[in-house]
Amino acid sequence: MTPVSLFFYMLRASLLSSGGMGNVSTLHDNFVPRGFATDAQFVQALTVGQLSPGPNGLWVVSLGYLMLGPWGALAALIAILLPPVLVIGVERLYSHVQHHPAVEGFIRGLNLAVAGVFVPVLFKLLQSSGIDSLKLTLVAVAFGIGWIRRIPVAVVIAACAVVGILANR
Amino acid sequence: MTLIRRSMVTDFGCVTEEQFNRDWALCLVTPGINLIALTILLGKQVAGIRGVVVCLAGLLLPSALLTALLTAGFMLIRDLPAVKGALQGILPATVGLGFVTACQMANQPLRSSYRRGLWQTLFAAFLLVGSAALLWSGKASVIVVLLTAGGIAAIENVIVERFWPKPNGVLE
Repeated sequence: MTPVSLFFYMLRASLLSSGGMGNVSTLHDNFVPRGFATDAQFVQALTVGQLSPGPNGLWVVSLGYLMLGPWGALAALIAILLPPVLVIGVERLYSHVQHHPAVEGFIRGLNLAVAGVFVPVLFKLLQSSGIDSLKLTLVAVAFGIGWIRRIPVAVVIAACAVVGILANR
Repeated sequence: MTLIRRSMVTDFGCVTEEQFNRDWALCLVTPGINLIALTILLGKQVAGIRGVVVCLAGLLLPSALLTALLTAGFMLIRDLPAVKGALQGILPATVGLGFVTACQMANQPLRSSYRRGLWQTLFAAFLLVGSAALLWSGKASVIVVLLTAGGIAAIENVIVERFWPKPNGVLE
C-alpha cells in the first residue's frame, strides 16, 4: 500500500458516504480483508478521532498515520477534503434536480444504507478482540451516555479506558 | 456546527439564519464530511476562493495536526500493558458511540419516510435492515450494498411519485 493508493481508496469511500463516519464501513471492507489494516488500527483511529478536536471525520487522518505514517495522514487528509468541494456544484445544480423523485429516492436510500452497513462493521470490530459480558456492558453504557449527550465523549472513553485497565490487571 | 453557526450568524452576521439552514441542507446531500462542505460554502459566500482557503485552513490545519500528533504519541505507548488494558475498555466504548452515530445517520431519512406514510416507513426500515443483513452475509461489498440501496430507493420513489403523488402541502 502506497500513499497514492491509500488516497484513492479513501477518496472513493468519502465520495460514497455522507458525514464523518459514513466511510468506516467501506474502508473496513477495503482494508481489513486484504491485510492493509487491522481491526485494532480501526479502533485506535476511531478513538483518536473521537478525542481530537475538529470534525470527527478526521479519524481517517489517524488511520492513515497508523498505516503509513505522516504521508498516510496527509493522503487521508487530502482525500477527505476533496469530496465536500462538490458542494459548490451541488449548490448550482440542486435547485434544478432537488425535487426529482429519482434524486430524492437515491439520496434517502443511500443514507439509510450508510447507517445500516455501519452496524455489522461495529459488530466485527467488537468481535475482533472477543466478546464478553464486561465489553457488552460497556457498549450499552457508552451507547446510553452517548445517546443522551450530557457527558462529553472524551469522558466516556476515558472512563471506559480506566475500566479496561482495572479489568486487565 | 453550533459554534460555526453562532459565529457566522449571531456574532458576525456574515450570513442569515435562513441562508445558513439552506447551506446546511445542501451539505447533507453532498458526499464527504458535512462540516467541511459547510465551511467551503460559508467561506465562498464571505470572501470567494480566498475565503474558502482561509476557512478550510482554520477548520482543518490545527485539528488534523493534533490528530496526527495524538496518533504519533499513541503509537509510542500502545504496547505498554496499561495501554493495552485501556484499549480493551476503549474498544466497546467506541463501538457503543458508533451505534449512536448509526442511529443519528438513520434518524433523518427515517423521519422523512415516516412523514410520507406507512409504506414509505416500512420500505425505509427494509432498506436499513436489508443493507445491514446483506453486508453481514458477506455476499456483497459495502459499495455494492450502498449503490443497490440507492438505486432501489430511486426506482421506488419514481414509481410512488408517478402513481401515488404527494397531495399538495405535504412537506418533506
